Amino acid sequence: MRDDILDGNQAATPSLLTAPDRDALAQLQLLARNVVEGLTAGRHRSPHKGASIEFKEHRQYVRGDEIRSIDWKLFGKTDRLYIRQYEDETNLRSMILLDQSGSMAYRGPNSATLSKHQYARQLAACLATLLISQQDSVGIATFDTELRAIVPPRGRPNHLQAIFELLLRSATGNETQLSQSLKQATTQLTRRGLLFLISDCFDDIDSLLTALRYFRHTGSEVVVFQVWDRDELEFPFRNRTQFRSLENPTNQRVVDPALLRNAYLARVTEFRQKFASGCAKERIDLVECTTEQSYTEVLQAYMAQRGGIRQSFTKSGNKESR
Amino acid sequence: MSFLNILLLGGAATFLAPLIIHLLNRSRYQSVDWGAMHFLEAALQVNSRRPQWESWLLLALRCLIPILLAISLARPVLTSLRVAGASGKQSIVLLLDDSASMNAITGSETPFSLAKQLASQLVHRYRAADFALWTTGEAPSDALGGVTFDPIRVDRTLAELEVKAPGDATLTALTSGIQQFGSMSNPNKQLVLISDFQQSYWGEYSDAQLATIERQLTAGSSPTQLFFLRLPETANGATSNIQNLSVRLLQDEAWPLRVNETYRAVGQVTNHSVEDATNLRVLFRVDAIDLASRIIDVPANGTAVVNFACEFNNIGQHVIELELGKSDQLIADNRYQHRLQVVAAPRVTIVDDSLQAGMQAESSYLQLALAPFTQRADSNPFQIKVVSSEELGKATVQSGDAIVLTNIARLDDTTVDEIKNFVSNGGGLLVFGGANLDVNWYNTQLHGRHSLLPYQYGRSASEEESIPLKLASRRAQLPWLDIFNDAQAGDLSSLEFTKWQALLEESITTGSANDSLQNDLRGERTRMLSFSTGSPWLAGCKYGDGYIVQCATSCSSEGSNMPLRPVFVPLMQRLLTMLATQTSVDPIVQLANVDPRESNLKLAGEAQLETIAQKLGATVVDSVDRFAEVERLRADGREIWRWFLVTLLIALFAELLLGQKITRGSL
Repeated sequence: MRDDILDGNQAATPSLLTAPDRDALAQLQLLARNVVEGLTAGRHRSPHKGASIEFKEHRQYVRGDEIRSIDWKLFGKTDRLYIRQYEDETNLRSMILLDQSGSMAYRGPNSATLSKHQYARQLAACLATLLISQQDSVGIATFDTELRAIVPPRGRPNHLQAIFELLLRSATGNETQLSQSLKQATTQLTRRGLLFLISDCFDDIDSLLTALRYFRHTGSEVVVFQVWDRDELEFPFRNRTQFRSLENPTNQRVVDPALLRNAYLARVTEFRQKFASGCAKERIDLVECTTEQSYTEVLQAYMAQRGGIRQSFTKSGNKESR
Repeated sequence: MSFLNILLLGGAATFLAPLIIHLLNRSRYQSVDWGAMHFLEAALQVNSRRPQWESWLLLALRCLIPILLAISLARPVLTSLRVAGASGKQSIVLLLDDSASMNAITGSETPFSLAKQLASQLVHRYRAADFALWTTGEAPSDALGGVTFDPIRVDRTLAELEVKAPGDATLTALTSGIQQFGSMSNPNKQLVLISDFQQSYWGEYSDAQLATIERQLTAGSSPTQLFFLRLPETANGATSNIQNLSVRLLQDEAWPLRVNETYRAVGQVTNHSVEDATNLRVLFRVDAIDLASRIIDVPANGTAVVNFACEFNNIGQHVIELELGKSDQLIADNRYQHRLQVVAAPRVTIVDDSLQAGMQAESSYLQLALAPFTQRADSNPFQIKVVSSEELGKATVQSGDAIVLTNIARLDDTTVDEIKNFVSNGGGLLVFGGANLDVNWYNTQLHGRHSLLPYQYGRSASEEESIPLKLASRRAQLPWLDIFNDAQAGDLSSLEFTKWQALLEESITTGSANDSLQNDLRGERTRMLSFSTGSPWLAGCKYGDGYIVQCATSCSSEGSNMPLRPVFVPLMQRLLTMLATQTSVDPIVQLANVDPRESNLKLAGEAQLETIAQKLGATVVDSVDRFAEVERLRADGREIWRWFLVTLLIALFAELLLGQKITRGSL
């Protein structure tokens, strides 16, 4: 049935997902670290026992229990009333925030064939497809100085069509107001869920962490995919170069990169360390990637890490249900 | 500064290449649409204070490198060191030190042999030059006998040269060498002194002597360049390793010895080594016969005195010799000899007119001084004969070696003529003053007419002069007075005079042709001893082959304490010996003994020699190659391309390091 869903959306998104991408995505197992409440039964276990196909345990009937829940076969054997209880499953409500600010338009002449924005769109498409294939709800929003377009979270397979259409419409250009946009996005993820932020995070770190901290306070899990171009990490320019700002074309600097490189790299390193430290403190998953990396590999590596966490969490969930 | 390959200097223009590249790079840049501008701007803020000197320095180095390369290839020459006239053909005068020290045994070759090799090398190196060769020994000589262009002839002459000179006369040789350039054609004049440069000589030259030589060198339109060509360090051995002893006789006065008179030889042995000399045998030899020997010890850098004595029975010349019984670096100074003249007792005729007066004779003290022994007349140092003026005939005059007139009033003309003949033929005449003198006769006849007195007698000074006169204390220069420079031999200052006749400078001219002829026989007057007032007391002059001495006082005790003083005896004996033997006796002739300064083999220090060279405007070199280098420098200036090449290498290295530093910052 999942293959049908994927095949059904293949024609609509020929340029976003290639065949190898879909094969790789089919193997991905995305499991949220935290158990969230959901209206739709899925593969995510709920601490609440309810209606599902997976039997959990029996208990003695008490007044008020639904009559239909009584296990009559057991009553025939034991002459006592027992209630059958099942594992309850919830669906994952997730939201993808895609940065389309001007800085995301950078595509290094020395490094990659995709711009950071293109790479981020691919990554978002993969995530959305993966989540839908798991029958989770997923929504998407694009932003620069503010939220520009929003597709609310849905779990229907044809919801991917709306997501892909929004991704295709996404275009870069404006400056970045990341923290401001995140505050606006809080209205879209009012319940506990999973927030994916795909951005270069070129903003004030303190403001950004403050905004992300809000999501954490609501019980949501936050995953940040920080997209870099290798040029931004290594600054490999040698000749005299005029740097024009992608966010503000009037901002131009002609510099000798050789004389500037050490100071530049120091600033980048400082930024990365500070941001990573802040994310760890807020229990935010930070995934750094460059546009040269395969986004599917990035997802596989991240999901492998997530899988380990799910197993340990499952054991603790069983103890709680008893 | 000039350049030997000036066309290559044009290559320096390539310094424009890096400059143009730099300017083009500045005007051309690539454009990049950049996202992470806030990192860039933060880095720019950090770097805004960073000086751009690195890039400017790199540009300067890159511009400098082609300039330095072009200059190096163009072979720059520092022409400020060039000397006018130094580029022409050379006239080279070689001064070769042939003093005794050049024969010191210090290794397989003597310094003189090395000096000759250096001279030969130099001659063959400058075949186009004309050469003269002088030796700098005691009597500098022109070894080539003129100027030659033929190096082979110089080689032959050098091969024949040997160390002969007992001493060194470098300054004289320098003057001779400078004068030699007058007969040489080439204007580029070089005077090359090849020597061991002993400190004993070069430490003694005064500034005045050096200034004289310097003036001679710089005189004329084309100055003479003086070079000191030092021998290799090993030629004379290290100063600390000198092993040399020398001996000499201390009494060198040219004074005849009488027969049977005891001769006392005082020898001095000097140890120039840093080690003591023990059990050193000193041999005393007379006329090649060993007479005695002594074993002595001589401390390091010290001296020891050794005494010998002998008597001579035979009249004539005898050779006295001292010899050390040990070989060392310099053999020539291990033997010292001189020739001694032994004479018979001189015959002195004393003319004294006071003999018949029955009083104490005028010449009593003089007789006693000359012939003290009445019993053993043979032992007397003089054979004296006392006569009156009337007895003084031809036979008497001719029978002695000297005549002494003691307070004689006057003589008859015949006697005067006899005395004139006697003196002109080599006899001696001593005239004492006194109260009996007919001053007018002495002045007009003996002084004016016959020229037998160097001075006129003046007024007679006597008791009215309350303070007795003394003799001026001045170091005697005459050989016969030498011994009185030593107070132990006699103190001339103890003599006091209350009566005297002044010896006047003015002479009385007679105006006769005959007198003029007589005057021609009288030589220059010599003040032998003077009163403290400056007036002469004892004066002398040559007359023909003989000698005349005139005294301002008498020889008696009247008017002076002279006869009563101990100095009277040696004074009279020396004076009469001089008068009696001055023609018949050859002075003591020193043989070819080594100059004592040659024995000290210590060489002049480098700094000392440089100082002297500076005063003379000379250049010190230690090899022919160095000489040629200096000469080339004077002629052409100094090539300094090596300096530029070194600078170029430094610039390349610096450019490499700086480039790497900047590159590390960009990658």
